Amino acid sequence: MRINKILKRDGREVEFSLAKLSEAIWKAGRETHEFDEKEAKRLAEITSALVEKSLKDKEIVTVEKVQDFVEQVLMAAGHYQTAKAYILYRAARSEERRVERIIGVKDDLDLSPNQLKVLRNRYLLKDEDGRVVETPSEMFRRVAKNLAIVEKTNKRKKIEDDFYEVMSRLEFLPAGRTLNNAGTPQSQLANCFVLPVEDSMEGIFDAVKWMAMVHQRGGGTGFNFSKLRPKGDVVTKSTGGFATGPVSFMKVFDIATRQVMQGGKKRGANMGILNVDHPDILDFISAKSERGEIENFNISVGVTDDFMKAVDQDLDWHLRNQRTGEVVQTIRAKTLMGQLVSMAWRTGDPGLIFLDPINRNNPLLTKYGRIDATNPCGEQPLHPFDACNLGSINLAKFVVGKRVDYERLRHVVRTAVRMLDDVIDACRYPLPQITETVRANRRIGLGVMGWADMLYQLRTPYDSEEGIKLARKIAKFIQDESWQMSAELASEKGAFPRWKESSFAKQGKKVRNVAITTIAPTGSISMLSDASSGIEPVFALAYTKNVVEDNGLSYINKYFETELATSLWADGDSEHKVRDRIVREVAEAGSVAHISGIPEEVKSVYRTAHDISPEWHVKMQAAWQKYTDNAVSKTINFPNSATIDDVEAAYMMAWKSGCKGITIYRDGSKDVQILSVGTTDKIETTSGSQIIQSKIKTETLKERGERLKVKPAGKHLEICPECGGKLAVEEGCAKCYGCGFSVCQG
Amino acid sequence: MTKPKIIEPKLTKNAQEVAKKRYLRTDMNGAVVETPGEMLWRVAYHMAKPEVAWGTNGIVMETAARFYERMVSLKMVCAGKAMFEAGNPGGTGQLSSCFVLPIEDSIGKIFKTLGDAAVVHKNNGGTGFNFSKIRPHGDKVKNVPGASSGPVDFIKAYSAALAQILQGAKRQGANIAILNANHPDIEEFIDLKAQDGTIKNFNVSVGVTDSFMEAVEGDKYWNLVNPRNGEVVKKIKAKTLFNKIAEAAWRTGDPGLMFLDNTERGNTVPNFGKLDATNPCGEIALFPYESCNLTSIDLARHLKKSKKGYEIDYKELGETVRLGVRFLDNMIEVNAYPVSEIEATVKNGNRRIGLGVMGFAHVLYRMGIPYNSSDAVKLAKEMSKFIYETAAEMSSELAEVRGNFNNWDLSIYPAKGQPMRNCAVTMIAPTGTISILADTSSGIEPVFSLVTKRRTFYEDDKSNHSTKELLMVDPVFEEYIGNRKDILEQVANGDYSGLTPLERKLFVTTHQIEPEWHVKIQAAWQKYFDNSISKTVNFGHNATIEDVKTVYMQAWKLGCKGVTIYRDGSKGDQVLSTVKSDNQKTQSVGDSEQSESQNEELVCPECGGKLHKQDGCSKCIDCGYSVCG
Repeated sequence: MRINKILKRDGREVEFSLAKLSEAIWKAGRETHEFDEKEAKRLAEITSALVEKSLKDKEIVTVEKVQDFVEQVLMAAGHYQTAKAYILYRAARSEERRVERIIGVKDDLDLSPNQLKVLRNRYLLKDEDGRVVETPSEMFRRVAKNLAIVEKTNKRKKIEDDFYEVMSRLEFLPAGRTLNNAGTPQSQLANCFVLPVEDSMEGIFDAVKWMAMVHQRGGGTGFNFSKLRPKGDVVTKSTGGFATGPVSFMKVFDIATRQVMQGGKKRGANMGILNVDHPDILDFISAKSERGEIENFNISVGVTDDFMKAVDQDLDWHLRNQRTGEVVQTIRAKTLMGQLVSMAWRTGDPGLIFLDPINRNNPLLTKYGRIDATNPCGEQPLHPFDACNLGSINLAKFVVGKRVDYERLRHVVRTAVRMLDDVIDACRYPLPQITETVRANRRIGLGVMGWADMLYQLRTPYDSEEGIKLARKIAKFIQDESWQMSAELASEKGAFPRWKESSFAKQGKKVRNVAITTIAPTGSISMLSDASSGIEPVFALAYTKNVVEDNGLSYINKYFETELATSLWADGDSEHKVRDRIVREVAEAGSVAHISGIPEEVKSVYRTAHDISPEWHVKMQAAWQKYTDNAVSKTINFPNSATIDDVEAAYMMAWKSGCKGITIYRDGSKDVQILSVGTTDKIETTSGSQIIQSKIKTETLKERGERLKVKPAGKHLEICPECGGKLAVEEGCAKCYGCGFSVCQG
Repeated sequence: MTKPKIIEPKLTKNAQEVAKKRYLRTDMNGAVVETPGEMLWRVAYHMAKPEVAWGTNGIVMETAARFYERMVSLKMVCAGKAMFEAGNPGGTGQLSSCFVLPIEDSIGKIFKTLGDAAVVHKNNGGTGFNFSKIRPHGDKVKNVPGASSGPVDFIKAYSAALAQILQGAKRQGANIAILNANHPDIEEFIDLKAQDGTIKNFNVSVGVTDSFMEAVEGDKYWNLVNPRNGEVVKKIKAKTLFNKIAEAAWRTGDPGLMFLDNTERGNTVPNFGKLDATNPCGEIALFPYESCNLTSIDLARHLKKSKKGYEIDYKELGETVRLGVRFLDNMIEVNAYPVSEIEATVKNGNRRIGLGVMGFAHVLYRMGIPYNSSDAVKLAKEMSKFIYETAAEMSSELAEVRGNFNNWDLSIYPAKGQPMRNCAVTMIAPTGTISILADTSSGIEPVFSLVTKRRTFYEDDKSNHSTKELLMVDPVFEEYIGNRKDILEQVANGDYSGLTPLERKLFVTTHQIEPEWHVKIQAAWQKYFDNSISKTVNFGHNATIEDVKTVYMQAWKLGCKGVTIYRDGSKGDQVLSTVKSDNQKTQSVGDSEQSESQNEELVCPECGGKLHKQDGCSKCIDCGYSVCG
């Protein structure tokens, strides 16, 4: 009998289509180059006939059964390679579906198990018992709908659909906070906040209180502590004696942070800044040298051009008491820089923020003064009480053939600017002062991710002039398009309220936002998009991971995988011995740089973080910074063998090339205590929730933790506090590709 | 009237050292710039200043002179903090030592209060909090289950944050955290100090109701209730919880107990709010944002000799009480308040004052009444009734001139047709260091020991090595003994054979008095006093947990508002450093090794001297260090 309907796996009955079957078979043939479209059509017809013959009366054929016939037909027709690939594909898909069942997320967007896992762990709404209550597409629909609410009625539906489209195609994603909270009672959607700290007990504890309230609603906070009088200074009218200084108060902020959990999930992140002329600067520089000290803070020294020049020219440098203006100490600028760099070399902290470049690009400088602090990841310099919501465009999605699809990118940039601008209105801020400031400035943070993926697709090495040139081109394109959109939004909805007081007014340029582009950390959203983080290079091309397959290898970079599958150089034998060896060696080393049998051209394209020299990291940061309104969040990776001078050179270079800040990480310098918020105990107790682990694991988390601990120096000792996986350090934060844990979630 | 001639109070050498170290003004280099007599005038004059608002010309100087006369004769001594701060341009102007601050179930408010506490601490004050409104640990926050930090988490945060800000200061500010017995986190709270050695600047106390105590008596189940929604989270035998409290207290001295219903029955402003927390200095019940100004009368200086021996000079005592009330009401005017809510509650709200006493044990010695006797209880009641009534009468008189306290309408006084300037007037506050200044017995505590040996430390000698051994003798006992000096050495060595049985009965000291008599005396003073009574019920080292529970029950039944116990040799207050001494008693002269017993003992963190637990606080008679008062 004829096939009318076909029964899908989810129980739906759909019309049978010979064309679809033919297309599916052709897709398999294309991969192996065994046959063409015509042959595929012939095979589909044979399959269809065989299925018809086999059907009993009123039987509705299942997808599985059709696929069984396809296998037989392919074999019978002598397309053995295709048959094998098809069987393997089916097995892989079946495994994915099994994993989806275990994860408990209904996949209606054709995502990978890893993406689903990140979604389940981080973003999908759950009921009180922790059960997922929405599908991925429902999540994006919820977000789109709730952000579009502020649009005019006649345009609302269209805008909502645009929002939904760019998100569900993973072309643009707002920050995790927005995905989590849009349309829920907790509509705090912004990520970054800066709070003022005044030089009085009242002022300090007001800041602690505000911080707690921001953390409770999921925000990260930055502070500049430079107004606090130095340690040992007099405290007026007090019998207690003397001031304890900024570093001791940072401990109070740290303690408070520890007690406030963000939505029960994790602690808030803080950025503590002290200006380089504060008398306590030396204490500050080493504030994180003790394990566990102010563990909820990243610290950065706020430096001026004057200071950097003083270092360059080997001049003296004055440390001043802010309260009196009096010079407390004079030291060689070089000595201070040396101290700072050696601490950074040792522990990764402190970073630098360059105050003058930040304020050269501060449209509100005249009226609202200098910006002297940033959010925890450093990409967002803000005035006190200002905040910023973030979102990132996934550049990996904009390569067609070997070219950048600028038309689509333009559309996505425009949609993203509108969406982030809408987030400002949809957001309920934790403090009235913040609401006031944010609504007045309308600052947004449009960033990118998947930059390294884009470079892979374009076969452009990250550490090449070509790569730098392309970075500038794309950054400029996004910046230009976004300001164009902001101007259009200004005519549609009005300029930002402080526009008249800004430098834009002088230029007669009406815009909706005081600043737009930023390169923010993309922590979990890049995992959700299966894209490389921000503008960072790929961390590792392949690695053993905490999930799924029992052969131990679970992640291989998809572009590299395609390269291996399609390149002749890797196809030396029918049993793929060369390919398997390469995969094994890459998984061990993370990189292709030192693996034999790989062409130099391929090695130059598939660069990973540690293959790239610090200079190129800085150059890439500077390239993006050149056309970015806010700042750039990036980690400059150093090998373990890097010297203190190397670090100092990078700091100098970052300043000279116009960066707004710099964060370095020397491999192996930070240890577990600093990165993980829990202890080994905690890792063991959370293993219960690692459902996949318990089914397919080959090694317990405990064993894994032990194994990672005893690895020789120079390897990554950092493990994820939630699942025991290896942590990657990039964009100024640590993240786990295993479970999506990230200490500065995007 | 002109300024009276400055005369010097009669201070012992020890008292002079204490004054110099604690109260006298110093210049920038730390050199003392006033005599004790000048200091007392500074305070008296400062406290008289507000009189100008209600009196005629000359009233300030006249009142100052009257205050001064009482102070220089040591009939009345104001709280140490006020003594240092009043009229001292180098001070903070904050005359009150201790405060209660509110804790609500919201992150913003929890951290606002932390900020207020930091300001209080910066000005060398202490703070008390009741954390019971905070939802339990692991409760939902905005529908996220398991998200909440509980009271104990916040106590830890408070402890660490407040310890941090005072790093630079000489001593840690005192705190007390209270949690009600029906809070789901109560068990964790009871164990807090034993579990976490880092919580050094907090004492803890459990708030218990009548129904809890009744449930203990009737061996009933007790509900632990989530304060957020009233849901019963857990049922537990009341006795189990009671045992746990007693055991922890037996082991470490913490927690204390606060009897919430007894306290509330004594609430004179019931329509203003509930009294559910105490300050850390002596555990006096206060409203949130309330503090209390303190002054204590030395009862031993209000005796007159008659044919039968000593008797209370009620005329003089009455005069001191009246001046004391006036002094404290004025103090409210000149006080500087660290946060505006406190000013609103204290100055423009309730005007609570705490006129207290010290030297009660000395009165008993002089009058020949043993502390552990019904006569002592009778005398306590008689005196407390007199003091309270006189003080209340004075407050009413002040109200006629100065007006009622602002919350008078919310108080119990309108029903009695009683004008009042202050919502409450009398309390027994800790007299830590000021009783050393006055060379009198602490508060209503018995004498701690009649004769002790100590090594003297000289202030200027930074090495603090022992110089020579002295006998420290209780002044009343010393006077009584007269020239039978050899008895002193014997008593110092624990040999009482030189005393007659009657003398032995009279000159009882802290550890010779059964805990139940401690409680009876506390209850007697509480009966008439409107604020709380600060007292420690001392137990011998061999006391059992059952003994502790008996005292708890007794204190509750006798109407005490709280009870703090201390078992000798229990680890005690972690604020203080402890040293282990493993030598047996080796009290030979010249032996510099300080060794009392095999137990850990409390040692003064400033001079290394031995600390005594009294008045709900620890004090060092060597240097006047005291963690409260």
